[in-house]
Amino acid sequence: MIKLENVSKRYGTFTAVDNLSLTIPAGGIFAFLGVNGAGKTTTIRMMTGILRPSSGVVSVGGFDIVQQPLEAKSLIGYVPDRPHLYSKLTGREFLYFICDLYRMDPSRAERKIDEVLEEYSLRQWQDELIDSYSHGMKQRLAACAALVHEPRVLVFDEPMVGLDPHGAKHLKEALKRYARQGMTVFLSTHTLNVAEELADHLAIIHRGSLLAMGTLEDIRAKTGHHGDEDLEAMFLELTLAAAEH
Amino acid sequence: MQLIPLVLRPALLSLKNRHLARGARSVRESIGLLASGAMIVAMYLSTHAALQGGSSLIRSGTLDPFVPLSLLLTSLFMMLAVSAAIAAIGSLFLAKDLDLLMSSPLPMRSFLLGRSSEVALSVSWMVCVFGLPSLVAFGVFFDCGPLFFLAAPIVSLAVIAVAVLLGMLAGLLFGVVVSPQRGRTVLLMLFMLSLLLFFCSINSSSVTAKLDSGSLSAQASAISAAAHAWTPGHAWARAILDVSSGAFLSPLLVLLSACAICVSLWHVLSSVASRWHVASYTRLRNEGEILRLNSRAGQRWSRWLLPLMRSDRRALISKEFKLFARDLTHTIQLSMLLAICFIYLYNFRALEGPASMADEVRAVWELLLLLVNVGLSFLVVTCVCSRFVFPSVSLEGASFWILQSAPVSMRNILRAKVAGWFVPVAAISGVVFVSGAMAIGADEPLVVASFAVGVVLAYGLVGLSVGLGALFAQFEWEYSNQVSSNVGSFLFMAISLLFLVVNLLPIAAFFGAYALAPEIVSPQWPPSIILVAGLLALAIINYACAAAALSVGSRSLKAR
Repeated sequence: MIKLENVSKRYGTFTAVDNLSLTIPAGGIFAFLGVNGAGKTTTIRMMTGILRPSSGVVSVGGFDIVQQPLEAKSLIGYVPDRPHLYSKLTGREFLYFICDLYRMDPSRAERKIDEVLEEYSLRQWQDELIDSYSHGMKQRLAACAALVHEPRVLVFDEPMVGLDPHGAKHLKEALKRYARQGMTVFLSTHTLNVAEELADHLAIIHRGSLLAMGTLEDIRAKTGHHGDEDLEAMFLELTLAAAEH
Repeated sequence: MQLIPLVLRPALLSLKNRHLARGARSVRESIGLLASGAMIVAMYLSTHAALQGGSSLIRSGTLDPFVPLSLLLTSLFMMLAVSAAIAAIGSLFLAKDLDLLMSSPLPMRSFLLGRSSEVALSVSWMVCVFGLPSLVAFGVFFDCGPLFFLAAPIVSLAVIAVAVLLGMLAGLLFGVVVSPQRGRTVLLMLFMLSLLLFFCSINSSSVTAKLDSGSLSAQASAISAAAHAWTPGHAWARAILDVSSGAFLSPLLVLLSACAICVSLWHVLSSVASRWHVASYTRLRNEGEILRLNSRAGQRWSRWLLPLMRSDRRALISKEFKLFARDLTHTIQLSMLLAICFIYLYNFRALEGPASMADEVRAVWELLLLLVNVGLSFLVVTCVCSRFVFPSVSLEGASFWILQSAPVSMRNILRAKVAGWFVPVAAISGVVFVSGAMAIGADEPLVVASFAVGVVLAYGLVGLSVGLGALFAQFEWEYSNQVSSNVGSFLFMAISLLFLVVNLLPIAAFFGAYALAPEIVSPQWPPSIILVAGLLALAIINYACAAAALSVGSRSLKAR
């Protein structure tokens, strides 16, 4: 569903993402792991068409994000790590705006907006300015905006940041449900227990380069760990080894 | 660094870091700075040329140089005070770092000193562009000694400090008395009142003055507040002219008075801020949290108003206007700009040609006034665009990711901005152009043509503003009016002057052909065909300019 082929992103002499290749199958949850500054957000921003790669190809649903950006973007719902939204719109107005940008039929848009607002417990604040929302509420509204146009790919950058325990639990269940319904969920995180609990496939990135990719079992095999060894131990071993290099 | 007020240091360090950052943005900013330098030089040269052009009038005593200087300095003082008031509302009540500053053990006086310095720096470009070159031109023209170049800036700095502190106090009082959240309602009422006054004054004929070459000074004085001895511009101009003639008593008095006023204003500012600033800030935050709107009705209205438009374009336009209408700083700026339109038209109507003129002379005079009206109206509309349309891309701010990740091309986003802004700007432009033409008593076809010119120029100008706004987009800002005072905005003003020249030549040609020699240009067709053909040519020029600017802007945004 998502394919990155030899993708690099350079800012002057600094390389944020270095020759990264990923293949993410349709359906299921893919966790993208890395320490702070590993290049996760830069990769996501290239996948969603916000940044252009310096080299390489990113395709979503078979569409090249640079050559056919509109087709590729219409398949994606994106929730950034910091949900900067239009603070002077109300929550509902913001969702209308998103539905219109994705050219949804008005009656379908009304139905979907009610549905996502209900699901993310924002209905009672739908007519208040986003300015007055807490960080967690903005995060939930950004999730509503990503889901309201029924995307085939959901890209979540640090999904648990700013959510209270109820919100986090609800989101984890929702992500599992979306994956069961056939949506491809790509989440970037450094909260390893979330990745371990949710992900079908994982990739670990460090200083812009891929360290490991596959199922949890594949990564265990790669690191020589056995049985019930948790992801944290493997992650620390891989990233520390890479840092020493 | 220790001498710089603590509150100001982050802004200065950010500026330094931005300057040190390499890349396309710094290239663009360098171009902007070069253009700014060119504009300062142009301001100096034009002031000097104007003084030389009027030297015979000055020598014969027909034109007192005090009049143009006091007009310039009064305008500068007003611009400084108004801009400082707008900036003060932002920095005292709306800035993002206020929570941090309010929670730190920072004395109110340090906070105010930092904020006042920040406001002074943000409006200082006006002094650099308009004040400084004009002063130097005066000094050179009147062959003043080095003392002039030493004393005039000192006096000017003191008067500028008065303007900034007045603006700070006005901004603070506005926030305290009205509250920025409720300010929109109050300002809309003021706007309606000013519209009423505007139409009353345009329709009244009691104050229409007639031009007479022997009373140029009186004419200029009669239409300007600078004629009044109590205005700061009056004292400022008198002090500078006295310095230029070697007299130092009145400049010293002005300097001492300005310093005394500054000290008094500072004490009033500190007292008001100590007593009411925290309470007003708290009230502002509380009011923001209880505002509820009917979102469904808003969506129905936008579908009803723009029924045939594509939904993505309609969404962009209605979002733009909702954000505009709910941002207090925009409302304040809009009120100020409408006041500028009003002052412009009020002053311009005083130049109606005298009844005693011969017909041929009168035709030339009316044509000249018509072209001056086009030029000045264009500048008024450029002011509107530089405050609202040019910053519209930058105002997406940190939320720009929403548009970047949506399935809408940058070109369509910019086109939606043009479509959205064209209607209100064309309405303002049409009214200003037509009112000016009517005020000078132009023929009906020329009044209609002036309206059409206003609308066509509005399209070109809006396209140019959006395109250059995208090229010089700056998404990191704390409150919205910071965007309209950056280097890009300055460059936009410089490029629009060039755009004016490009448009003024064909306008002069077809207005001139129609007014002076219609039978030669169009012997077989009615004279109005000249106007129609000219307008078509003008429309092509403006469409091409707008399209080129949008293309450059969308390429720049895509490359980010």
